[in-house]
Amino acid sequence: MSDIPPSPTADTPIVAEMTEASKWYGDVIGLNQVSLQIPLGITGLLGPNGAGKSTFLKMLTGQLQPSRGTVQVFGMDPWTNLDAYRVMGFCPDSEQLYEEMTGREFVELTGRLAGFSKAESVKRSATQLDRVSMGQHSHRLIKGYSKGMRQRIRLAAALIHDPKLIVLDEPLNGLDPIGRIEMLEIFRQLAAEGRSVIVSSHILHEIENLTRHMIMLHRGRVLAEGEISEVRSLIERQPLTLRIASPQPRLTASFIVGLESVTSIDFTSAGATYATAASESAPQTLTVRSTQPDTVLEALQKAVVEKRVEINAIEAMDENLDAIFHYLVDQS
Amino acid sequence: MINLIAATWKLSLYQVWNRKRRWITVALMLFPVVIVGVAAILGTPEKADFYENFYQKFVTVALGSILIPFVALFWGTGALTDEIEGKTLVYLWTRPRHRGFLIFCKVVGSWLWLIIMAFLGVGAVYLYAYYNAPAGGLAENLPVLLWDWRALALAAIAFSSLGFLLSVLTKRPLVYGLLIAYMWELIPEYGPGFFQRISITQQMQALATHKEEKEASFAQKLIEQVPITEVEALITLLVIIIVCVAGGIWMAGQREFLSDDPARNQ
Repeated sequence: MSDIPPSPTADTPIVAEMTEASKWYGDVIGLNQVSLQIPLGITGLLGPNGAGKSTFLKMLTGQLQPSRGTVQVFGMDPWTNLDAYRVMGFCPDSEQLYEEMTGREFVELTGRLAGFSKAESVKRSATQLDRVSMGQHSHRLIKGYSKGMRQRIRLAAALIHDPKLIVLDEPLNGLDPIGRIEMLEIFRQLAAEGRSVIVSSHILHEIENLTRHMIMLHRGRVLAEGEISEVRSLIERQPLTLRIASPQPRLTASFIVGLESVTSIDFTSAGATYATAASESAPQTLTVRSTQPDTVLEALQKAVVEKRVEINAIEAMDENLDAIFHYLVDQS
Repeated sequence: MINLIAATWKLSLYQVWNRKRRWITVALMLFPVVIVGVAAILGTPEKADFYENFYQKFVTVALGSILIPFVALFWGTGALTDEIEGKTLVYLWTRPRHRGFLIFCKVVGSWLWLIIMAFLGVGAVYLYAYYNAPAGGLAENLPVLLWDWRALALAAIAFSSLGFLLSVLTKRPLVYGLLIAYMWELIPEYGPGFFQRISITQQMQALATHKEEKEASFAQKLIEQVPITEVEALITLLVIIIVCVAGGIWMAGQREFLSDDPARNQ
């Protein structure tokens, strides 16, 4: 946690600002009178599915026009002023790309669209592909890429024009634990270079590992904004359920079963749930309930890195994050 | 500007010639050639004017009214809708480029393939008809080939521009485009004169058939089926193209294009 950038102060420059910004889709409200400032550095945007995170990011990146209020990025309205895209990069949550292009072709294409010559696009794309560790895979067609590789290619494309602000919509979705660690490292590196990074997620722990500053959205409204530790202390007693996919479920469980914060562990296989005697032969899912999920994640991280335990995915279950938000709503 | 053109050209090539579509594109391009080939093998004409009639019908009906409008609308609407459906629009929309102009550049890329397609179609039927026609040879009728190629190319560009405009205005542009091409475009044949003045197919036919000019007042042109002159047809097609392109470029910069609009999903 020591490499997490310090919290913004009153002197920290503001890179983006929303004032009374609302977005309606017909009768459905996507964002409701949001007023906030985003300081230089890393900002986490947290909220359960349907909270309005994507709408928030699409408005911030000028893909949506506010129904009411204003949005400014470096003093420019991104909906009307296309120059905002010279200083801002966006990495969407959608997995889709130009499937029949190679990764390198795609990143170079975004460079040409950003206004660079062919030679400059080639040079920049090589730099960014290396940054996201995709240099050696970039000559392959995108349709053969895994979820994590697609995420990296999208990030390289978002970085090709050297933006001052990078907006990332659910960038850690579907990544394996090592992929997550590598991605988080890239985000920290970007921030260390003096760029601002906005990362959305529905998993509190992911944001917590990255920044101390966060915005929590719930039903289109800002529920909390500021120091993540303040929110953390509020939800400390609220258990969170983690779902862990691993072909070695019992071995994986052995690393967390002794933790004080773990209140239960269930093994699930092919739709059946049972508490003991899980076979190691087929991939399994462990459902872990913990009052301090960060301790579970730290233990798992250690198991993966030091003991080479195979873990395919870790996810916080949505309904539980919803529960946290309901808890916060009740508290406020 | 050169970088934008290079990038949109690549996108246009991707739209028309990507690995999934290239065989469809080849088939569409060679379709008229195949039809002419079949006609050449099966046809046993007895009437002297068979070849000229076949040529004219093939150019104005098979190519100009059926195949070219379909392909032009397909590619014209696809420039934007492919990006929306493929969820790749975000990579174009978050670049410092005018959105409408960017998509328009992509549409222009497909015009080259439409022009080639028109040339292949007219060229094939021209070779067949005027090689066999008793009334004249290939060299003498070369201007006919060039006129008709121009007529079909302009009609193709007009339909493509219409497709572009529809794609920024509606959610199902190809459906509306096909309704216009195959239903609306039939009305002018039988309706008052005014209708043929705003029909792309009628303008194309006027350019291709070289009807004699007839003196007529403005009122007559509105009511009666007065043949459209070459100049009128050229001007009308250019106006249609300019209006559709300008409208499309402007509208694309004004509208939101969301594929995951929650209101739409409800």
